[in-house]
Amino acid sequence: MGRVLETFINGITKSNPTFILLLGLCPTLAVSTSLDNAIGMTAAVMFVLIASNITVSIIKKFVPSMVRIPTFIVIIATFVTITDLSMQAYLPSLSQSLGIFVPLIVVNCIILGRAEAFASKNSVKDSFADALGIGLGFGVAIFIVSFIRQLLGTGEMSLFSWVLFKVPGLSDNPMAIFILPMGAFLVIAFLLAMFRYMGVMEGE
Amino acid sequence: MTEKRNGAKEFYPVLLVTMIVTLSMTALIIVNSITLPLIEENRKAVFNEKLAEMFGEMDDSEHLEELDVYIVKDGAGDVVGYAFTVIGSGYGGDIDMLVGIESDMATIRGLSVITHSETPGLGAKITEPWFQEQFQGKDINALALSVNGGDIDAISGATISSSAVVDAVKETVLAKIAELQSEGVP
Repeated sequence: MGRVLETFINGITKSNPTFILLLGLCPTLAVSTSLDNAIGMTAAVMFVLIASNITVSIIKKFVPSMVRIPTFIVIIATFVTITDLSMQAYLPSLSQSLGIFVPLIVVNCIILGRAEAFASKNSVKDSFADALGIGLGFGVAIFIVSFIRQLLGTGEMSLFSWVLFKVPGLSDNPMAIFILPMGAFLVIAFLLAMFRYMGVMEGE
Repeated sequence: MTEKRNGAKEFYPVLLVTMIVTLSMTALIIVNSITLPLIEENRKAVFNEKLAEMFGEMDDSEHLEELDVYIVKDGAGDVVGYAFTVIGSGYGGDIDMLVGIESDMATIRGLSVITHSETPGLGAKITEPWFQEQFQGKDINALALSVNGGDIDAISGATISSSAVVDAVKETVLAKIAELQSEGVP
């Protein structure tokens, strides 16, 4: 049990995909404009990550290393397409704002990276814990980035069209640069520097 | 004997990948058959919403199924314009648009992108108001990008997406207008 828990916690801290492994930065930069997007993207990535990690771990004994990558890609692409179609059917507005980044989860290196580096070598239980940890790690990271960008870029905090609070002064003159792509780079750079300085998230 | 074993060994990966692809295809066919009607329904809802937005005074609209044309009427029953679905082939796939024209069958009332899969930051700018508003009030017969002597500014870095929109709008709308006129629709 200790090992499973450790794998799970490592995913969020020691091998945080965004802040430590620096994997999957493209969706983090692109969709972190609002908390709604962050939550939607996290849900999609987590589902695909958990499903593909479990599947890869189950079939790892039958897959010769020669066809390893094609097999993993087919499995990941299947789950991504399922996610994409379900989102379009049940959450059309979220699907509209995430746009192309849902189908692009197929080539997200977090997912293939975990299938290759972890799930193809470990038990189903450990792979599940790893997927959950890494997924949450990605979620925490994109949530922090989105929070800062939305707060500074729009001057108000809202969640699913429900306004939480407004910053007086800032909501009339928001710093729109933070909503633009450049803001994403700035926020991620400052966060990385801060985490390194504080030593909170020391890499392996 | 050894030869036969090697043959089976080499064949195994092929069989495995085929099996996995078949399984995933089956799963996708099932998911697709469940979600397709819902996706269609959502698309229609967005379409109707944009149609109502474009024709503020719309009270009634008649849909001609075989031409896929919407005839928009006001409270008195007079025709205020026509709306068409236009599908252009962009850089990343189909661009699904709603185009409205005035009752003179020439002036563009508005253009609205419903779904697309263009590159974010480049082609995806076809959804931005400044690009779509350029079409308002333009004559459909003279519609062209400014590089081709028209007055629609293309999106820099996204010529394919911009011309896909312009070309598809012009071609489809002109064809539909011709059909409408030949059928003698008001």
